[in-house]
Amino acid sequence: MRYFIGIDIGSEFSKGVITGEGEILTQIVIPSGINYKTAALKLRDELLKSAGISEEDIACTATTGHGEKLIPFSSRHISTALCCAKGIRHVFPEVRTVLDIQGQSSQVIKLSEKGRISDHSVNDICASGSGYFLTVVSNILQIDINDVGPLSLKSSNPVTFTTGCAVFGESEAISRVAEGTPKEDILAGVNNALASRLASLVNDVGMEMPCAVCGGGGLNAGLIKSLAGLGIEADVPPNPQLINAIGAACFAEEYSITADNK
Amino acid sequence: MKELLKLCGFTDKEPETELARIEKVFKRLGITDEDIETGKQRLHKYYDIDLQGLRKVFRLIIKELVNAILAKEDGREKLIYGFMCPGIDLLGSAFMTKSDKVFSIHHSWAFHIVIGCIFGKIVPVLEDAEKTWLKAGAVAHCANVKTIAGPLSMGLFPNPDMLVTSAYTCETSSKTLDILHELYDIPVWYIDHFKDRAITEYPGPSDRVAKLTAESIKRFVEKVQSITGFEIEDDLLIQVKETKRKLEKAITEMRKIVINSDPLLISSSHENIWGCLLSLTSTIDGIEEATDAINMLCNELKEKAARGEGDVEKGAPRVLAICPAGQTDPRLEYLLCEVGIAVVGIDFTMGEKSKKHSDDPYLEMALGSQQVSLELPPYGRIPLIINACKKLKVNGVLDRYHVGCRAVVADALLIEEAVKKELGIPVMVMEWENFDPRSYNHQQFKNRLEIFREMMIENTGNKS
Repeated sequence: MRYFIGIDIGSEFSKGVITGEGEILTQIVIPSGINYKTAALKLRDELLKSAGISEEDIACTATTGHGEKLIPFSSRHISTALCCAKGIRHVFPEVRTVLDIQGQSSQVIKLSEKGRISDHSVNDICASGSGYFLTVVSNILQIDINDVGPLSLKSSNPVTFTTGCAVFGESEAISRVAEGTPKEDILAGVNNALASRLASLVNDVGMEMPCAVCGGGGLNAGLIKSLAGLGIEADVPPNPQLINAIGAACFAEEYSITADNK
Repeated sequence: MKELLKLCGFTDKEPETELARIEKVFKRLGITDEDIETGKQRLHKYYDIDLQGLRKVFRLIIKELVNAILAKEDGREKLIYGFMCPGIDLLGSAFMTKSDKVFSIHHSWAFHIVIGCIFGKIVPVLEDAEKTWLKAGAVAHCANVKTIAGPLSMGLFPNPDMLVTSAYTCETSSKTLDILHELYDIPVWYIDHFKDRAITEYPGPSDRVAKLTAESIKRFVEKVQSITGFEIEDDLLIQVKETKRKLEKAITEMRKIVINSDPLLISSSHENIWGCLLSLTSTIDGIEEATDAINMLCNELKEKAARGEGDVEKGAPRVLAICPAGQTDPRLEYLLCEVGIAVVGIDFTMGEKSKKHSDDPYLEMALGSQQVSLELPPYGRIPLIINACKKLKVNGVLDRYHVGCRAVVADALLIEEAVKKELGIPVMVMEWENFDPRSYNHQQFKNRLEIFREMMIENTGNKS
């Protein structure tokens, strides 16, 4: 069997999958740390070990995310939007709008019936629409980022953030803590602010259903609820943070086939 | 260094004195052996350096820079630097044709290309300007003004005897020269020129504006005459204009060849080279040499087309770019080719030439300066862009607007809306700094351009 690796080096986490005959054989998520090359090499080794195969069994490797020039074993480096579009179609073939909520940026991609990108909106020079906003606030509240979603769902009185800016939002969160506001209400407020920012990206491209959320933001059930509150009813695939890596693996397979045909 | 100079069109027949002058200038500019190697690599990577015509163009640009830096040592008694100033390239050529005691250079085009594009060393110049008085991150100070201030503060260029500008394109140019006057006591001359035309006057040029500008240019020439003691006759200006027109015609012809090519014959990273050539303030002989080089290039491009070669894959989406190619850094244009996007035109070069002409060379200069995209407000600029899109049959518009520029920043979203509404083609709006390589974010730009390409393919597929 021919195997393909897809790797997505994110600002917070690096994600990887090995596929073969269209199926996902193994998947791994590790922290990216500060050296993307080291993260990529470690991820590949762990993937190979987990799948019980060797480097020689891999027909093609494609990567996405950060560190394009740093990953020595990549055959192709593809943009996150293309990988996201490809990956989401692999798991949800009918999806027409996808929100990819990453650690440092977010993007909304509108897909045609054939799965090509027909419109796109990105929030890559502002932290307010990205997972970073949640990271900042979770640090202030001293809770694990994975607990943000479940805890925010317990809120009965979400605070309203008066700013869409992560920097000012941090100050505002500190003020709320000082006032004694419960953590779950602060987190629900952050989720609402984030959802509001994402909704404006969705408006830029115009939403078509079905809609899906992927990226690390998809793991935050509170954020999904906030989006629904704004009329963005989105499905979340299993392991949403792996979608771009799955897309990269799909590209790896396509390139391998194209190369064979040549 | 000889290998690098060979790539830039210098031959073994070049006089030793010329090579010594270049060596002297490179030394003054801090060009090391390592930089020479970098320069060679960059020429091979970013430019079609196998084209002999292009090499000749680089030769002219390097010579202009060398002449500018050694002007005082060459015995030039009066140095005049123009910056964002209508007609200065033509006037400069006339001054230099008239007298070998005067040196006039238009802004720092040649400096941008040699130091920025070839050697990749513009950043220290920007940093020096920032250290002196143009603080980093201050949007009001685009890096263009830093590239005129930096070389002076570093002592790379001799201080001129006069700076000339106009606030027509951007008031920052006149403010910058004000500061240079304060710092270095250099006299500054301002040419009056304004944009407040009545809407009904568009798209044609305004006679009122042209008259005022022409009179102002004339006063500037009178000032130069009083300083230098020579006379600039109208006949000389007409002669220079005619010579430059031949060069413009040759470049237009070359652009036509490129526009109609598939695969795209030559990447848009060369566009600022043509811009530089049009702005050279060489003597009439120098302009004729430039025209010959472009004519040679046209023939080479035709041969390249016949061989089916190109810089971008065949069938790549065709794009009109808003704002010029990177003036000091060819990486974005190179990335466009890598991603598979063919930039077939740039709005700045698509201005309809004025139908109004005048026998008065001053009025002719003033009329010509009103028709380019940069000089137009949105209600003049948007129709120009829409028409250019139709003419070029493009699949999309890339608005990589220059973030520090008042003249182009405000209408970026208006352009996007108008193009989408009228033509139904994708528009990618991308913020960057046209003169500052530090603004280049490879990953972010690549991501956006790949998406843009995908959107154009999808949109074209839907229409067909």
